[in-house]
Amino acid sequence: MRDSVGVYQEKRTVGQGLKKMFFRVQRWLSRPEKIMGLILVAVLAVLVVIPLIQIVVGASTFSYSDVARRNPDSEVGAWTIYHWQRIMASPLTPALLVKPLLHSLAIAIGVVLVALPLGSLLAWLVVRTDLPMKKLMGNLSIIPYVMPSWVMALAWFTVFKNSRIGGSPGFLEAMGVSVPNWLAYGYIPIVLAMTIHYFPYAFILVSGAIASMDSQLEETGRVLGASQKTVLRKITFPLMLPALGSAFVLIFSKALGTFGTPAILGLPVKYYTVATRVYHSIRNGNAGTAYALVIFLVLISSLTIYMNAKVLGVRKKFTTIGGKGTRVKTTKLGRARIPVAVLVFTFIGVCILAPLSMLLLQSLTLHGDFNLSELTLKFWIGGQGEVYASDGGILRDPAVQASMWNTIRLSVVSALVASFSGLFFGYAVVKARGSFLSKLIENLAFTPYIIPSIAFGGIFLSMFARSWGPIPSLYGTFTLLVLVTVAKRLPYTSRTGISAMMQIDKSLEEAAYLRGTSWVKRMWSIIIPLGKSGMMAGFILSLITSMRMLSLIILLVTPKTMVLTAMTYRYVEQGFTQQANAIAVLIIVMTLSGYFLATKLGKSKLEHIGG
Amino acid sequence: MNRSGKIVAAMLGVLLLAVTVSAVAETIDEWLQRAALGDYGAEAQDWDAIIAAAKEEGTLVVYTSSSRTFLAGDSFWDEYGIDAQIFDLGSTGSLSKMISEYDAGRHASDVIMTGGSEYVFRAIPEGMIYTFVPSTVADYLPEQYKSPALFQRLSLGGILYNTEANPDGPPIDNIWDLTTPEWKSRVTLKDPLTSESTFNYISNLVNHHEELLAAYELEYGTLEYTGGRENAGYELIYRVLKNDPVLQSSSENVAKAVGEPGQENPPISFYVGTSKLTLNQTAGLVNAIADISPVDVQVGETYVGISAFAPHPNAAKLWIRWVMGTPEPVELGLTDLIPPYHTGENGRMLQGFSPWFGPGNANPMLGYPKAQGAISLDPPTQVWPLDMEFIWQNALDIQDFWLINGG
Repeated sequence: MRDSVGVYQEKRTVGQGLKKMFFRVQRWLSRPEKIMGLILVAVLAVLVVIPLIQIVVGASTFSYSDVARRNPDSEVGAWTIYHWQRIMASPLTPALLVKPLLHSLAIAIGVVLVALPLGSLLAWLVVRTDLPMKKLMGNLSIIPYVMPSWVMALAWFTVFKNSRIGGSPGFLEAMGVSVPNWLAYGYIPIVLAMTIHYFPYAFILVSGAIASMDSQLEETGRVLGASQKTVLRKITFPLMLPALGSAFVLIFSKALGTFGTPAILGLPVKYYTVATRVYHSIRNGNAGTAYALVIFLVLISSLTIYMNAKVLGVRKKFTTIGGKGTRVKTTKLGRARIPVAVLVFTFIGVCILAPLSMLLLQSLTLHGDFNLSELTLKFWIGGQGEVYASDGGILRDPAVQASMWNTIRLSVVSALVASFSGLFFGYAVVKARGSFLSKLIENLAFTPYIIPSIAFGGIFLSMFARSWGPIPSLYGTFTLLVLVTVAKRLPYTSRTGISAMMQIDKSLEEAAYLRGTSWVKRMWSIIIPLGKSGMMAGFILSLITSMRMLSLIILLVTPKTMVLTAMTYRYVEQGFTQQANAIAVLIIVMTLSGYFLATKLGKSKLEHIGG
Repeated sequence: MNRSGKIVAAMLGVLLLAVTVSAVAETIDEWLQRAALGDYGAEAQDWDAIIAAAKEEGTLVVYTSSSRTFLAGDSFWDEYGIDAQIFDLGSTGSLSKMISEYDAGRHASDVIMTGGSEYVFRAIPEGMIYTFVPSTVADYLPEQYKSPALFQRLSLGGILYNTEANPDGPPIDNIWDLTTPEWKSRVTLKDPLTSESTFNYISNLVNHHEELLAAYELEYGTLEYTGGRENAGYELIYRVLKNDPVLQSSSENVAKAVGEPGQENPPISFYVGTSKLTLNQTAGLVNAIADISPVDVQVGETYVGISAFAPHPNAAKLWIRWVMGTPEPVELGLTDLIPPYHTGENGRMLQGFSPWFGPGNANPMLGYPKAQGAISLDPPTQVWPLDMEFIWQNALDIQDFWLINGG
């Protein structure tokens, strides 16, 4: 009796449960943000999760080259600890892992130590003091960010090159100043060249934080009897901490994986980093070794982010509660006002104009030796009848023209895709706020942040080299370049999208929903128009970044998809210095005009840089 | 089905279609038949038919390790009106791109012109590259230069020194001199980690360790092995590395570093492609090849072949015939040619080989004439050909040795 009731009840429960589940699924499916969420998870799986798995698999299996020349008893694809052993427990360990890793870490720390105080100081000067022409100062400070970091390396080389490597002298030696090796190649120049590119990151993030900080908090401290030092330590610094933390993580993890600058300035003194070793290993058929190295970089980046979150704890953002609006009190610099302004302008001017003019000048001299009596336009427009790359001018070289077109196409297309997908990410995450799906998407979209560019390119190379399930082989296609660019920018674009979506009150869409407006219509006439300014910011950032990127695509470009940055690097490698410098100038001009055009049109600023 | 459901279904449909379409592709047998290569290679090559077919095929795609290929492309256009799209990808780059594309099933290239042991010991045996020997030159080539790979040219590697700073001849006469304190930080070479040719020269030294040992004993007495390997080749690499050599990213940079005039204390090069001696004329450099024991010149190899599934096989065949040049200079028994080489009678005979006709390169045909300023490969010049099989087997170990010792 009891039993039968039990069974009956159970049956009823199962039946009801099924029905309930059916309704739940149906209801769930009727919510577009969930559908979109699922699609995004699928996309993220392909662009982020599988690449990560691929690195681990690549680092732990035999490749063709390993089998054919090293382990004849093995099979391609068989599991092995060979690569791990090679980098971690073999005579190669110091050369492949320990030294490069120490170098990479030293560079990343060095860049942070110089760029962070520099950018913060500049931010304070621009936001909180009475310096003249602060607006111009702020705008100019962002320009080194727009210029590629490896261009700084080229410029450095052009100026500081000394007799160690022989041949024509650098600018300083040509002027009769002798340059010591430590200033010409290796650690110091790498850090300084990268600092010029990375201090704007700190500037942008910290100035945003300073601008939103209420100076009354500091004043209150002073009124209550705290010394200037105590106020700085107990009030100002803690309030700045989150911004400083994100700037630290951003600069550190970017510097860790940078390839171009150490490759150019490190080679003459055999100063290698993990990124350059990854590049060498892939080029020499040791992809497994490269992937194992990549895993180290990913772990270090993750650790940095974890530590940052741990140290800062929950104090991610401060909300100062008070009825009044914030007030920013400017510090009077008094007599120092003009000298400081001159100093700041000189510094920024040197950071922007020095590289540009040195590269331009070098590209105009016949032997690249700054001999002004032998100026020539040969490397720009070519001599007589010479139209091939090694002797002709870059502007008449069809390969340069094709690369220029590819560069523009790639940056515009990927910026469009990136900013639109950012919006969708924002929609899916914000509408389903708090759900598991929302958190999953947010975290997955952040993952490319911890994978260094050179490694990300390497994974995409191996992953899309052959067809894979329903995905056709994409090697050598333009689509692949767009995909890798969009995927690498996901952490930034998704953040931009999320913050844009947060600002749209959900009642707007709900009202339309109640009126029976379709989802597509709701997206088109409510969400997209309102999210436009956020999207525009994402668009500009992606546009500039993809115009100047090198590490990400250096392993992926093929002759038909060649872009200017990769072409410059090839010219550098081949010793066509003037042509390389001329193209570098061309890239700077292109990114700067892209930046100005986009900011003019979109009236937006680079404030989402830190994600 | 609601709207979003339809979208999902449509996307799945598109994917399915993509898979179906990509599944239909030519087999290697069908391609070989179409291209008349491999087992389908014709006994007698009908050049009129090949030329006619080549003109129908459209733009030819060439991956090359030499920027001079652009000049051959220009003359190819002038001769046949066929456009050749040339991609200068470097020695490691050309082959690795081709192999990646082969693996991916995207067959973009027609002709590969590069060197390296992987070409002979992987790409040819695996059927990624097919050798095509034009009937015009076949009889003039020694067997080892046409099988398994067709040699387009022999590239000569030597040690360059600055003649302005050393008017009395080379500052060294023995390769071991490079390891002495006098040459600390003054030896420059192309980074072997990115340069196949430099690596081959280094590997070949390991192969010839006995001669290296003899050269050492001749000048310095008993050799002490300090680098951990009982092999004079490894010992030389070890000692050169300990002497702080300066790495460059290209042979052009090496030539400029050594040969730029007006230098007080110019460096000396390690083995490097001597074709950069042409920069003496075009860029005013003052380089010469040092004659030293045990070897003056190492002979590198550059091959030319047709990529498997090449979209334009006839144009590829015609290209190969073009860059080999005609055998006329041999038939006429010429020993020296007077520049210019690109134009007039010389240009007509040399055809697409003319860009490489100069010091530093040699045509593989027996009895082919030399260019002005070219080093004689006859005795007393010491010449070592590269042993590609040794290199294929040992290059990775040598690469590791290089890495371990600070390269």
